[in-house]
Amino acid sequence: MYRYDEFDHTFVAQRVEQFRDQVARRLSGELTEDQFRPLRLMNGLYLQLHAYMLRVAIPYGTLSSRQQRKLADIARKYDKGYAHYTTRQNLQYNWPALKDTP
Amino acid sequence: MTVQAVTANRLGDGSVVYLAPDGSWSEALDGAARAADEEAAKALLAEAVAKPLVVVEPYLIDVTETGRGLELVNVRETIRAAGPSVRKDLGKQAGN
Repeated sequence: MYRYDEFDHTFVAQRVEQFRDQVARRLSGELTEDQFRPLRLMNGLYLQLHAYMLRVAIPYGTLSSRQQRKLADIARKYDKGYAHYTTRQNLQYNWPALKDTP
Repeated sequence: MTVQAVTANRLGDGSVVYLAPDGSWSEALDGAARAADEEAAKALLAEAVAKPLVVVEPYLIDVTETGRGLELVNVRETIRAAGPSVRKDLGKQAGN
């Protein structure tokens, strides 16, 4: 059974900090869009027709109810109050603001 | 005569915007600056490309001037201007 352990947690925290820094550098102009694009794509942030789309990968498509509620909170606070479960068992937010994505 | 305008996505939230005559970015197509010939179009696009902190990937689109104002020529741009075709309650078409 998949368990999210301390190693995973540290890894994710570091990755988020790295992405937070990359977003800040894009917003300040230090990174061009051509430089930023592959970086944001590696973190699941796509630019679609109407807005950015943030894809949240859900390992094995399994969520606790606590996690589920937190993802819903995020949709309410940072998005338009909904998110989209994909056929690949991931979750997608369709209207995030770039600065909020880390 | 093809009239062109410049469109892009806003850096902050990815919203569809159009370059306005005063150099700002308008969410509504009606506010867009029009270029009537190739030189004017190039100049408009150059102006847009010079703003990487405001918009992402600006490009030229064809528009037509009608009695009702500016109208878009292709389907993709029509969808970009209106909002998601599968969720008519979201995006610019719904006012959110």
